Formats: sequence, structure tokens, C-alpha cells
Amino acid sequence: MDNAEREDILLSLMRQANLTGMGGKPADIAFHTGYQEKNVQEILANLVRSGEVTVSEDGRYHLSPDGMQAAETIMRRHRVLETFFQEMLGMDHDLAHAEACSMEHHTSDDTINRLRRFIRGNRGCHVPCHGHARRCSCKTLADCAQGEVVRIDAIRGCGRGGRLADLGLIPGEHVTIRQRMADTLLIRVKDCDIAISPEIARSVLVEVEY
Amino acid sequence: MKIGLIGNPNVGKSLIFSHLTGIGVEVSNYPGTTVDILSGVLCINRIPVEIIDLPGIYSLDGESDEERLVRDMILSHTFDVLIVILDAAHLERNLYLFLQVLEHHIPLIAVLNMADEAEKQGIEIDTKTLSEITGVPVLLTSATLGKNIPELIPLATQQARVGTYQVSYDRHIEAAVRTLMRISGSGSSRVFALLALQGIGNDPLLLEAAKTITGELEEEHRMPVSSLLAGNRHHAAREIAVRVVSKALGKEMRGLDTWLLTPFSGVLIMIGILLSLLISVFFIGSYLEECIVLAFDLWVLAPLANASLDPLVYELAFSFVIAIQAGLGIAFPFVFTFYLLMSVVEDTGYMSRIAFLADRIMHRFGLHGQAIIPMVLGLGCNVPAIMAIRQIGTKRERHIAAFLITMVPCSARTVIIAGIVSVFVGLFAALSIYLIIFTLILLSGLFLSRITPGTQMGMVLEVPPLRVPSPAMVLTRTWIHIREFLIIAMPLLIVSSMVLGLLGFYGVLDVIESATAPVVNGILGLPPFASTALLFGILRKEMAFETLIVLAGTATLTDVMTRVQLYVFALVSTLFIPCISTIAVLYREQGLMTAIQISLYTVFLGCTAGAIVHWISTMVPFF
Repeated sequence: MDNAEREDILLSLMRQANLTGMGGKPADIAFHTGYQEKNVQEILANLVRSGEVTVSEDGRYHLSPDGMQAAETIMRRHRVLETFFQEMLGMDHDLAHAEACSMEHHTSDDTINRLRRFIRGNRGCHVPCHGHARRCSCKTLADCAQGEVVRIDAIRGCGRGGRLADLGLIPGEHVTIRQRMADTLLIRVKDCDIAISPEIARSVLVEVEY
Repeated sequence: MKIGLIGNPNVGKSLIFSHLTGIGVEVSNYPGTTVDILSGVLCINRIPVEIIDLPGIYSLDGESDEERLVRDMILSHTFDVLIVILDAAHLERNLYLFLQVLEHHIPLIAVLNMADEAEKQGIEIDTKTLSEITGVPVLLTSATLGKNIPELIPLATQQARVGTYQVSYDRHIEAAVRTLMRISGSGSSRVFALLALQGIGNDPLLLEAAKTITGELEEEHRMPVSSLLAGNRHHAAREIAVRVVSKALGKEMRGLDTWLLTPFSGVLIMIGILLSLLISVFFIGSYLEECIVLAFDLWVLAPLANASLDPLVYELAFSFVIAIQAGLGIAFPFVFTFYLLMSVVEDTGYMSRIAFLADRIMHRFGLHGQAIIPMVLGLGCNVPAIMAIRQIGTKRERHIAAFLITMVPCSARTVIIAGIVSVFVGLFAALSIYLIIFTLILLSGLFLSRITPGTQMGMVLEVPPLRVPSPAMVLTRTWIHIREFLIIAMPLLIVSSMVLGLLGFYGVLDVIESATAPVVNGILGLPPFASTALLFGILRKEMAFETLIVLAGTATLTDVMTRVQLYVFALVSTLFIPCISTIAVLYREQGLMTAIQISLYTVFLGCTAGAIVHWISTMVPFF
């Protein structure tokens, strides 16, 4: 049995389930994937035997939890490949999509994981994550003393994130604490003074530069 | 031809506007918002040019009322030319908005204002290079000195260009923008794609497509798309700033801020400023009010009484004139004086310093520093103050702020305190009423922050450099504030005064008087006619005082009431139920429930406070 056909059918079933909330008929699947209906039925029968697909009384095929997982894995491979082609290699969206469609069936999970890490690796870590625990300290603006100069590492939450970013508080920016009034801070960013409440200050993770 | 002035807050935009248009400025509220928009018309070569001063904003992509309004106006091609006003002393931060405006592809010019301030700080800006980079004309001005202002309009009308500079975003964003531009067809431009990525726009197809891409992008970068865009724009702004700004090393000027912003001296100065503001309003107001009321009595009311009209017509005409008298007697002496002084304070940039200093204490009440601004404005009139609380954070914060603001003694209540207590009882007694009210506000705040559900969000507020206020700006601001008072409060006052006049004419008031007698007389120890006066107080607070005089039949109130009674009356009428305009605004802004809750709460508070004072006075023979 061709792996590509099997996987395309799983994907097609998942798409159908997402769109309509119902299972798919062999004829529909054949129409979407462009395979012969006879082939489709054969493969579906195999899938039912392996437990990835169930068939209901009205002749519709459904993904079992196992099948769903398998389909999602394929979808993830597709996305990673497409992102890689489009964003890293600068390929056109349509071409990237087409390439990803055929390559998703023949790429091992290991390759996918490595590609994913490669795409990720191009950026600095903006969120405290395991790999960067040392670099992303847990110090926030609220912990800084008057007169200290720090560098913004990340901003937690997105409640006021927009307004902060508009005022120039973005990761990488230097901030001077000009005045502390209890926990309220007067900070200087890009030569402008900004007053921020303690709860906002606590959401800004900073790094002290030596 | 329509020209829009756009820029960050505190860049002297409004000052440039008033230089350009002079007097004859029209203030309009944009439908559905409380954002004020100023516009004025000029004639240049016999072509009318309309100039519109847009509210100061930091970004075109935000979700606040002002930002949405400005974005919508720009997207709907309201303006033929935009004048982007930038603060030369803080160019890099201001370039952020400028780069966003450039994306909209509207002919524009850039104005670098505050050239004098920049020069003082040793900042030099290469306008020629800036103009080359961005592709639009750049003009260096100084609005406070009037430098280069006359050249502004000719430059805008003749040489405005669509900018050529484009921010180069992160490659993922650029790819997404390309995809989106293809989806929406040839008619759409880059800016629509960028907005769609942030979920803004009205093309469902584009938004749907953008949503999918946004999900991917956010998962990839682990931060919202808006932050990504902001980061890229700030980097672009920095690159430009590095090329055009050269700064000589000068010493850091902090000047007054050393005193104004440090915890101890700052708070003392703040209290001093606010107190002296109140006291000046108190004295100037009561003096002017006396003149106005006297003039009315002499020139209008006396002739009216002698005109021997039909009783019903007389009653209506009398209520009408009384309403105008009360309105003017309050509006000009108290509200006007208050807002005039307040505008001076606002124009210096001191308000945001108050917000900074008060942030800590406001947190105790479940609010944050910014909420102090409407509360201070509430000392003038509660109505615009309640409208201003839209600007502050979450529902919980607005709820608490609405309660506290309605308790703030507005200028009408100042009239009662000044007219009754300070005249007949004494100045210290008058101040003690303020003390009681502020204590009650503090206690209510503590109580409300305990019981009100919801979350709290902090403040992020720019603290601009201190500036010398300009008279033109102060007057414009005062006019904007007082206009709100005149158009909202005055009509209500006139209508309700006439309704009450009719009620009195048909004897309904007597019924009410006898019904409320047990409370008013028994618990508060006031004469029965005081209940009618308190009732009138619901219309306009100061009418409680005026009605009391009318009902007592003498202006020397000590003849008919004891000093304790006068004190209790003033205390109860200041605390008890907000005036009808305030209730109407509360209903509109915060909903029926909140309006009812606040009304009941204040009635309870007023009666309790009055009862306690009455009780103490009967216990202590000293009074």
C-alpha cells in the first residue's frame, strides 16, 4: 500500500471532519484527493482493519482517536515544511504548499524536528523557556532599584502589551528607572518618561547589563 | 481641502492648531465617542481649507477610542493632506507613529516641533536627510516661539508628498503580507494587509486568511503579531534617528522634577497645589457669584414679579429665569474659574505627575493613578468627570471610580458650603465638611475595592516634560471643559426647574414635605421646609441653597435655623444623591444598576452623616 495515498486519505477525512463535523464518503474522498474511488475503498478497508478509521451505518468513514493523531502528525509535518520553504527559502506560497504536500509523506519525524529547531534557532528566546533559563532571569522591572539601567527581555501577558510596545517598551530596549514611588515606577525609555503601575512593571522581564 | 494634524500627545499639536486657526474653533464630538475633535476653517487663495486637530495618539493600530477614531478617519480618506507633528526633542519615539502614517500613502508633510526645546538639549536634526529618507518635506518649527508656523500651510497645500519609505518587517511578516495582498486582489494595499494581521479591517475574506497566518506567526515567534510589528518599526525608527539626529553631550536637566516627583516633597507640593486651587475657586467663585445673582435679582426677577402676569405663566417664567440664574451663577464663577485654573495645571503637564504620585494610594481603592485625573476634574463638575472614566481600564475600575467621583464635591456643592457654612457658621466649619467628605470618599474606596468583583489593570502614562502654559491653549481647554457643562447640564436644569415649579404650583410639594417630615425633622433635626430644599438639590446642587433662602423668606438664614441645623443641611445636601445630570450621565455611561446603586448609597450616606452630626449636637450641650 502506498503510504502517500493512505496519508492523503487520513488528511482528507480530518479536513472533512473539521469542516462539516461528519465523516466522509469514499466518493467525496476520491474527489478531494484525486484518487480512484476503487483504490480509496481498498485503503479505507485497510485503515478500518488497523483501527485508525471506523465506519458508521450510513456508509460514512470516521477517524478514530488513533487516526486523528496520525492525521495531526502529518499536518504538522506539512506546516513545518511549508514554513521552511516559504519563510527560510523565500519560496512562493503556492509552490511551497505544493512541495510540502508531496514531501510530507516521505520525510521522517527526525528531519521535521530538526527543521523545526532550525527555524526556531534563528531567534533569541523571548520567553523563559527551559533551554534559556539562565539567560532569561526572572527579574522584573518591579524588582529594580532607583537609578538602575536594565534591558527588557520579554513582556508577559498581552493585556497592555500593545500600549507598552507603542511607547517603545520592546524586548532589547534599555530602560532607566528614574524614580520609585513605593512600587510605582517612573522609567525613561527612548528619552521619554513613563509612569507605570506595579502590576504592569511586574509583567516586564528584564536583564541587568554589566 | 481638508488637512489633519496628527501626532503623539504632548507634542504641541494643539498649540500649532490654535496658531493656524486663531479663534472660531469648532469643537465636535465624533459619534459614539467622547473624543473631542477641533476643527477650524482658513481661506487660502480663496480656497477654504479645513484644519482638523486629531486627538494625540501613540499608534494607529491600537484599540483605544482615540486610536480607532483616527484610524477610521484616515482609512476613509477624510483628509487630503496630513501634517504629522513630531517632537524634535524626542524624535526617535515620535518616528514610530510617523512610520505608521507613511504606510497609509496619503500626501503629508512632517513637522518637527519643539525645535527650541531640542536646541536647548543640544539636539541637532538633519532635516534634509530625513526628508530624503522618507520622501516627504520636513519643516522645523517651534510653536511656543511661533517660529516657521506661517510656512506650514503653504508647504502642506503645495508640497505634500506620499512618503517613499517603507519599514522592512521581519521576513515572516513580509511573506504574510505578500500572501494577503494576493488574496485580497490588486485593489488592496500593504497597509490593509498589515492591519488585517492585527485583526483590524472589514474585509471578512482578508481577516479570515490573516487569522490563520497570525496563528502560525504567533506560534512561531511566541509573541503577538502587534508586538512583532512594533519591534520592527522601533528598529526602523532607531535606524533613521541614528542617521539624522546628532546630540551634543549636555548635562541632564531635571530641574523642578527633582522636587515634584520625589515621594515626600512631591506629595506635599501636590496637596498644596490642589488645596490652593480649591481655595482660590472658593473665594473668587463666591465673590463673582454674589455679583451675578444680585444682578439677576435686580434686573430680571424684580421686574418679573412686578409684571403682574397670570400665576401659572409667572410660575413657569420664574422657574425658567431661576434656572438660568442658577446656571450662570454656578457656571461662570465656579465652573469657569475652576477649569481655568485646572487648564493651567493641565497645560504644564503636571496632571500626569499627580497620577504618578497618587498611583500608590489609588491602588488601595482598587484604582490606579490615572483615575485621579477625572476625580480632580470632578471638583469642577461631576458630569464631564464621569464621562472621562471611560478612559480608565477595566469594568471594576470604572465602577469604583463612578462611585467615588459622584461623591467628589463639585463646584455646585462648593457653592452650598461657601454660601451656607462659611458665611453663617465659619470658615473652619466649611473646611471640616470637606474633611468629612474626603474621609468618606477614602472609606468608600476601601470598602468598594473589597466588594467589587473583577480584575485590575495598571496604568501606563507618559510624563511629559514640564512646560510653561500658553494662554491660548488654556483658554481653548477651558472652553472645551465648560462647553460640556453648558450643553449637558444647562438644558436639564431649565427643564427640571420648570417641572418643579409646576409641582409647587399644584401643591405636590406640600405633600412631599409632609411625607418626608419624620426623617428630615425627626432624624436630621431640620425644619420641614428643608426637605423641599433638599429635593431641589437633586436638580442642581446649589439650588438646595437658593431654595432654602426662598422658602425661609430671608437671606439671613441664622434667623430661622440654628447654626447646627445649617451645618447639617449643608452636609446632607452635599453628600446626598448626585444631581439629576450626574444621574443621567451615570445611567448612560455605566448602566441603570450602577446609577441606582450610587443614588441609594449616597442617600444613605448623606442621611447617616447628617443624623450623626445631629445626634452629637444634642448630646454635647456646647453647640
